[in-house]
Amino acid sequence: MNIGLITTFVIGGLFMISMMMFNQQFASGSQEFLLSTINQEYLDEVVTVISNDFNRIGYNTGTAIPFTTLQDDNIIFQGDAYDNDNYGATNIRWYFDTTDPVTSTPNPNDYYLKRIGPITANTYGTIKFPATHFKIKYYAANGTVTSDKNSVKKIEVQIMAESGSAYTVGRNSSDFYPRSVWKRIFVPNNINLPY
Amino acid sequence: MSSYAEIIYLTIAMIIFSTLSINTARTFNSSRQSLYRTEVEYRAIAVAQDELDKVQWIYDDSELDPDDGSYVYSSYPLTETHTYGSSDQYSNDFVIYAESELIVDTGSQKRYQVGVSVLNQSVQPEVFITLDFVKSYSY
Repeated sequence: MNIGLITTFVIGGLFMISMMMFNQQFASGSQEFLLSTINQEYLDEVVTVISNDFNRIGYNTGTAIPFTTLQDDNIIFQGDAYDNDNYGATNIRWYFDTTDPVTSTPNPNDYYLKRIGPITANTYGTIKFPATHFKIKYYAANGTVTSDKNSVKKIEVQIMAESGSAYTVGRNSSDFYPRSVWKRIFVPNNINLPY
Repeated sequence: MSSYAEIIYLTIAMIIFSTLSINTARTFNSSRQSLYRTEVEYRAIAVAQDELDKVQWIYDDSELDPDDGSYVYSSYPLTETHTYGSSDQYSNDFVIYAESELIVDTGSQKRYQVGVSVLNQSVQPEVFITLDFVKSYSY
């Protein structure tokens, strides 16, 4: 028995295992950062669209009460979303459709957050954003939660989005989906006029 | 092994590999901290925007005058806990600083600059966001 050969195999084997573990850690870490960054940028885009719509609630409508529907995950209001389109004030709807899961991604938790409203200068339709949670709360002028269309002055919107793909961690190769959360209270000008 | 030279070569190789591994782990850690920081900054900006939106409700300009008894920011800084998640399972503490300063007074118009700063200490270095808003009153 050649002790030297056996020792070589043992040391070489340990070294190879170390390199394989390092490679796996590197791949997993790179995946995590890429997916997290993409998810954060995606959420930023959704936030941009939501912020534009909610800040324009009641704008150019001629009505003091622009709300049609106020629910935890569904809101319909009137507003002029874009100045440079061929639509004036229209109905805009944001709702979280838990009956419509996102099938194009492996993530089992995401459903479509849908926006129905003006899209381009001449197009009115539906845009879908994958999300895992969408919640709206309505507040009156004194800060209390309300569902009365005549009393709503502030609207709190919360969105949670996860990446479509997972990165694996640990010996059991558990799947993790990077998650980003955003929450903001909107105080639209046109439902808070002093007169 | 015929001599100790091979052991030395092997030891050096393992030291180099270990150094590479440690440096990679450090880089990953730094990148991870950046990701967390970005997330916290995003939320801090939303908190600051919320605070600035409240200025729209201030119809009486004396409430923005630091020398007036009804100054709205007399009790600041405030610490607020914001919860996130489907069952509010995540929470973050934010310290909100706010102040107002009269910058223009022409007799028929007054302008106040409201500065809001939000501090979050969940990451190091801490996140500190500042937003400014100018509110005008006409007489």
